[in-house]
Amino acid sequence: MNREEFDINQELEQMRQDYANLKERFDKQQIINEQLIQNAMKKDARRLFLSKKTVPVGIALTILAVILSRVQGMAWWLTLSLVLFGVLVFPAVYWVYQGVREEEIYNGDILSTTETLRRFKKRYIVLEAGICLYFFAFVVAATLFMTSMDISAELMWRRGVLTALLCVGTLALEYYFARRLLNACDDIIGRLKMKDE
Amino acid sequence: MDNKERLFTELVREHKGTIYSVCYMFSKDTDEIDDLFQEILIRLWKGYDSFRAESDVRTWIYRVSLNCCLNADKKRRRGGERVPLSVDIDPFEDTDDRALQTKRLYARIHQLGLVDRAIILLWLEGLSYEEIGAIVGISVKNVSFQLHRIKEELKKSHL
Repeated sequence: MNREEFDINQELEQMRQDYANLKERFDKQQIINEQLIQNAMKKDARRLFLSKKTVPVGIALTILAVILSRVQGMAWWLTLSLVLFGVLVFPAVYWVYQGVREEEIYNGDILSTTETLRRFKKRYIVLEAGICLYFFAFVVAATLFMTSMDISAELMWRRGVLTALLCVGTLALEYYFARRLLNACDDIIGRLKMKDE
Repeated sequence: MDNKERLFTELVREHKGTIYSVCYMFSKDTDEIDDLFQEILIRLWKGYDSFRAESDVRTWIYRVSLNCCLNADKKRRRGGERVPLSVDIDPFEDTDDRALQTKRLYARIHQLGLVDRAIILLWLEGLSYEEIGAIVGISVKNVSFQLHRIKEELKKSHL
């Protein structure tokens, strides 16, 4: 054993000793109090994922919107776009949340949990991009349908450009905030798979 | 308090030191420890039903705690009601002799990246390579490789 190796082994042994002392100190502390336990058993974990109620509530709202649009005598294309939104978005939401069970995800090992989180976040961004595209198409279609109702070409363009900017801005913001999480996930996965691949 | 709640409380009391140590190694101040500890308890309680009794309880607690700390670091999201823990010492401020050891250890571990921190923490706990592999989700051979790499990093930072 050379001098350098001896030093690092000594260092690690010192770390182990320091850790054992630290654990001993923590073990002697009360740490847990009644309120903490009660809170844990009553409170919800930070919502990482969509509530299970979101999809049924969303479907119910879409049906209600369709009924209202008919009662209010709105144009058929508006009703159809609502139905189309429901038909497209709910399977997409199911796809995003497929295999992600909040109660169980943190019970998994670090690698599989990180992979699940990464997959979920990427799919979530795709879903959001889809919704933005739909919104853009909706505004463009609405503008086209309304051309007969005395709307100038300039206003049409302005509306289209504004919507496109809104969509791109939303996506850019989502990507900006998701990037940190995705990068951290990539780093963890990369390090852990370094040897196994 | 029903039987399930009583068993859970006993389990948490038994492993409180372990959970607190993990939180400490991933936090920058006592408020952050309080937040993480609280979040881990909630996740342990949520996952208590799906936790299978046949798997080692210590492994499960490490999995939930480390996943929670790693995830909190990815998101750096804070807020919500904080219940202070019943701890008489402040591991960040304590100035007795042992505090020097603690600070030295904390500084050494905080030089490492998040994954490396998790692995070295499990090694310091004295867990076997099989147990570390089961918690992290990698093979025993990979655990050995990762530990060797981490030791090299510690060696480099020591120079």
